[in-house]
Amino acid sequence: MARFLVRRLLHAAAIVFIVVTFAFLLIHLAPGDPATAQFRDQPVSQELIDQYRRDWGLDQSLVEQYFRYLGNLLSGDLGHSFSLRRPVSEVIGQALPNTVFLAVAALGISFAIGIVIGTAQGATPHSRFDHTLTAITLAVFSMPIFWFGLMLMLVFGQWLGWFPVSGATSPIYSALPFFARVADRFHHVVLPAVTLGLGGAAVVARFHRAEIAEAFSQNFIRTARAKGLSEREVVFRHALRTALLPAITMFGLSLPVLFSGSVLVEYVFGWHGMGLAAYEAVGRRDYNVVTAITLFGAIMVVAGNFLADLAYRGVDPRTRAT
Amino acid sequence: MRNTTAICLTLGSTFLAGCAADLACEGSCGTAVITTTGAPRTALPALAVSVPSQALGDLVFLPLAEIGNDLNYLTDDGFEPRIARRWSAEDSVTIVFELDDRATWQDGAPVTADDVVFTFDLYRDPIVNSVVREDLVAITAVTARDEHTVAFTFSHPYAEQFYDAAYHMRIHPRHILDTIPRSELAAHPFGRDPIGNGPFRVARWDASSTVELVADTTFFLGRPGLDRIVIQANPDLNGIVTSLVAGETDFTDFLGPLAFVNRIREAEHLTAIPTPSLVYMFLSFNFRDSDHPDRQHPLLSQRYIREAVSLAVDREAIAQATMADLAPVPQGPVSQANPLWELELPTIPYDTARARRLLADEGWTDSDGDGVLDRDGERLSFGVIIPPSGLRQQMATIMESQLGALGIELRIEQLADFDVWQSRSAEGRFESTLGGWEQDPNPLGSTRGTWGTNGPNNWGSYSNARLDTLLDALAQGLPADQARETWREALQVIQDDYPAIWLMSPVQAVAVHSRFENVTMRPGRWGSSIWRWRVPPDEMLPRDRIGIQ
Amino acid sequence: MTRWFQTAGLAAAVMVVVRFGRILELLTAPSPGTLAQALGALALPVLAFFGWQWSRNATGRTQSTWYRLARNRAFLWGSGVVALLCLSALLAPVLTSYDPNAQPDLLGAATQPPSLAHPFGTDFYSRDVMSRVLHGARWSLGIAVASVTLLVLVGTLVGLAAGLAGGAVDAVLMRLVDGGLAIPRILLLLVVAAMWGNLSFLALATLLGLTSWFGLSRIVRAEVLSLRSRPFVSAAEALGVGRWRLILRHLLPNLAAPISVTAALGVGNIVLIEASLSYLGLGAPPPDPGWGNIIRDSTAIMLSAPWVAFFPGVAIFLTVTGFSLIGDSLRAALDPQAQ
Repeated sequence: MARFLVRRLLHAAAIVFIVVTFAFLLIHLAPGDPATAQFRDQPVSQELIDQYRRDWGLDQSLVEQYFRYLGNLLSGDLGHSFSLRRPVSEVIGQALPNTVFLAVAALGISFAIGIVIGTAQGATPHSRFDHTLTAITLAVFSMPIFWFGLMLMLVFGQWLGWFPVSGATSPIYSALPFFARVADRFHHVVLPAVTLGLGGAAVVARFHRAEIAEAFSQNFIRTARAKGLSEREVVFRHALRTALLPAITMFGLSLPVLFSGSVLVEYVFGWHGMGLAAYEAVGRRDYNVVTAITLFGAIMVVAGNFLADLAYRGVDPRTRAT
Repeated sequence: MRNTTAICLTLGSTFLAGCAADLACEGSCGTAVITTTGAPRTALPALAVSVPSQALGDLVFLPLAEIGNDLNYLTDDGFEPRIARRWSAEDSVTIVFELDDRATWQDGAPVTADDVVFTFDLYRDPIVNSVVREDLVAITAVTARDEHTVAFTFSHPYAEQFYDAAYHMRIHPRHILDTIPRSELAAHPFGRDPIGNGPFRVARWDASSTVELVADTTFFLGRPGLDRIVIQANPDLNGIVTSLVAGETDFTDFLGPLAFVNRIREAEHLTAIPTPSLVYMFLSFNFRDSDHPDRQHPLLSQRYIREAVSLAVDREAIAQATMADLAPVPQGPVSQANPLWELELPTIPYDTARARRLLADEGWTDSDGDGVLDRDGERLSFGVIIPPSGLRQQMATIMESQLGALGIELRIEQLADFDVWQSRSAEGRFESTLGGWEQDPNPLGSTRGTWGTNGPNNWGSYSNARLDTLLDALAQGLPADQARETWREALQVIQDDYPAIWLMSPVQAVAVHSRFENVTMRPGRWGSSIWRWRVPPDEMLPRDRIGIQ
Repeated sequence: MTRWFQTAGLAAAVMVVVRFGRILELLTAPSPGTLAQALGALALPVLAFFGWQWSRNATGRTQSTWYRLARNRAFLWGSGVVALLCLSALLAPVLTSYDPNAQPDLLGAATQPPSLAHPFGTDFYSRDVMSRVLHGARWSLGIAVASVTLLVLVGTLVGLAAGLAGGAVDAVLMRLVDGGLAIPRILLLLVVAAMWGNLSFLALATLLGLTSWFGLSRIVRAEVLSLRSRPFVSAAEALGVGRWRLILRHLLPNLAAPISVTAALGVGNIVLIEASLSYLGLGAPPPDPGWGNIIRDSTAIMLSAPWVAFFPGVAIFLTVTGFSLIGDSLRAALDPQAQ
């Protein structure tokens, strides 16, 4: 186990290193001058641009810049966001809680809906009911997420007026009392979380259906049935418990998917999280923010895989043996 | 010169004669939630370029005197005292301001003559390179006579001296800024955590571009009528309008498209105020080849091509489709709220027949049948860059279709970010660009800056010696009648050169929640008067009762 | 399968009857492109008829993959939807009389709700939305097909190289693939598209193709490794059969299953990603239609003209559904264990 852990960790570190290098190269080889790009909304003189170049080492060679960037990263310094006038760590520090909140809400929706549907399907595989639900989940999974978000926004935000259409909080959030803040957050998260989570629910349902169906065909369920437990009890006690473990593995694997989807959902709903921050930073060519968020996304992927691996090994006796 | 209709905007049933400030506010005084399409980038007026940055600066920093809503710039008529309590002309080239001794910085220090001297130095500093730097050239010196007296000296006598001294600059705090090297100012945290002298102070500015300001209750001109202003940036106009209609936000000002204006008109709790704006929108041709700036653009440097393209665009239809009656079509670089709007210039017609003839006479035909005119293997095709703006995309798409009908290909390049569009325009990396200028009340600065040969904002490198001479003469100061005729000639020169297609001067569609009273606004700049808005106690929403924490 | 061709033939015949006027118009037009489209439209019912004949007589070996596919309802539905979409894209000028970019009456006919004349309504510029959706299919599907071709090429080559070469080459290539899979793709695309400005059709297809092959190369490599460990391949190697012949003979046929499944799912996936990019403002240059940017353009008028955003969304949804049905049924039919 220890050897496995060390190997996986080294592997993960290598991947992150590759991503950092790639992101660095991509951004520094792109057309456009990062020095002038930093001063987009400001009147600037040539002197100021030259000064900036010297201050931030942009006059050095690419190799020098690369190693300096790596050095800074290792010491935990993500650089400075010029367009937002603050350290990148602060930008991420403010965006991250929003993204995490949205992701957790979306995951909750994915798993709640997905497991219910999957269980219902798996309990009666190949029935008409099963096929209908399969078609519906496939349909949900095939919808462009931004379009789905727009449609939800149109119906529930604009026509019915039930939910706010944009923002993670009300503008006056910071002045609200505690319980009003909590309510405000939940009121705002509903539409984006459903948008982001429903696609995931389809995936969860698909996997879960297979797991449940397989669990059903296994002996202990037959035994349980033979013991005279009711159908309902069988499903919820045994099959569900067995099938939940792979679902937890999926949880780790779906984190990065949520991150990618959140760029679009955050854009549609004006939700100020990592995705929207990345989108805006790309537009403003705020390179340090883009690199940091790319890096962050990569770490999410790697960590998600790692956790899934770990969970799987810890949980399933068959993988433990190998 | 006429007075614009925007002297005083009244809302609901309350008509406040002369917009006298009635700021009887006790306890909690209301919150205004303002949404803007762009995020403010700095609170420092000397560094501000975009409208949101300027508006934020207007809330936090005061000028010596504030221009009236009629935008008179020829004299000091209409200017209201701010940092300066009174002023007088000592001779034809000197104006002396006496500062209000009650004025203080938000850290308690008094505002002194030294701050004014420092401010002038800041605005004139080439490293700071403020956008209004060129507008201050006629001021030769600013000197402190004593702690509260400051004298402005001008290079020559002219009418707009007072305007130049008072309008462009907002007073910055010397005691904080003089220790910061000028080259570091642009990135300095003071830009988002400023200490100002105005009615509001910045309480919070987070990375998601929400700025929260609270009233300075000790503001020397009286307690602001509002407790709190929240400025929120949302690049999606649809989202802005929807949250306004839903009552989540209180105010926005934007330029079209019409669909949004109509939604605001339909909402009972919103008042849509079409304000004549100082904005005109245009498609500017680049006279130079953007790949080789030392060369002329093979097509667009030719006057007949620019003329043909201009004639082939049905500007009235564009304005009607996008803004209905809210966007009159200008015949030159002038905006509705500008006195030059009254000069009757000849109308540039929509005349496809003449456009066709102009091109045919020069040998342009569609020889390969691809629908685009060509000559000697060269196609009559050019690109336009547009920022991510619904209105400009609509305008470009309609133009593309109209020009296409004549065999002129317009290739639309929509840029992902407003800032990118702005820098590409400013660097001349375009064939044509769909721009919008907000003019100063005095049109001279913006006209010289945009269409004068050496103007810093002359994106398309247009140059006409006669125009420069006329504008120089205007800058020297001319009697009213002569100035009028000189302006007319200057605008005619510009019109005849077709350096751009003058598309529209859209009305500023201001939407305000109707619970606000005292809503006065000068065209295009809501920031400077919003401290006088108030919410009557019986109309307060929960968010108005939060109070200052 | 027989029913499939019956339905297709019927639909094609109805289309020819309904759009006969337009077909005649195109037949007399001077352009060879439209002539081909008109002839193609006329040929469709005939083709469907022959297909029907063939399917009735084709008995086939019951063990064959095709036989299994032809019995699979999911595959029939999926291929039906995909055929419908592809043919609509190819025959767009036959199916609609409107130029997708023409603005016939800017002030009078803008944002009209769906009607007989405009089944999908008109947009802000008075353009026919149906025509834009049909022509948009050319952009959206074209990009997807082009980039999936690239995906398959690069993914297969890299997977083969890694699997066959082994050692350091394998290690380096697979670490690169890990890196590629770890970068959030939408972010990567956003950065590249934003930095290089307006992307042409080919550039966008290349970009999408070059960022999508990582998964396939892993699958191919795994397949190669597993094949290499099988007795018949080692035997062939021992007999001195050349490495390249070996690949052609034995590996590629075995790779057909994972590649075709990836390709089918890839088209749907890339249609989704391209639409997302377009929605973020980085797709087909205006005024040309693509499904994503029709939706983007419609957000300003979504409340007053929701149909403009609705139909391209449905088109994307149908494409993705169709290709996933095909992909899933292919996987089932080609998977030897499923037999």
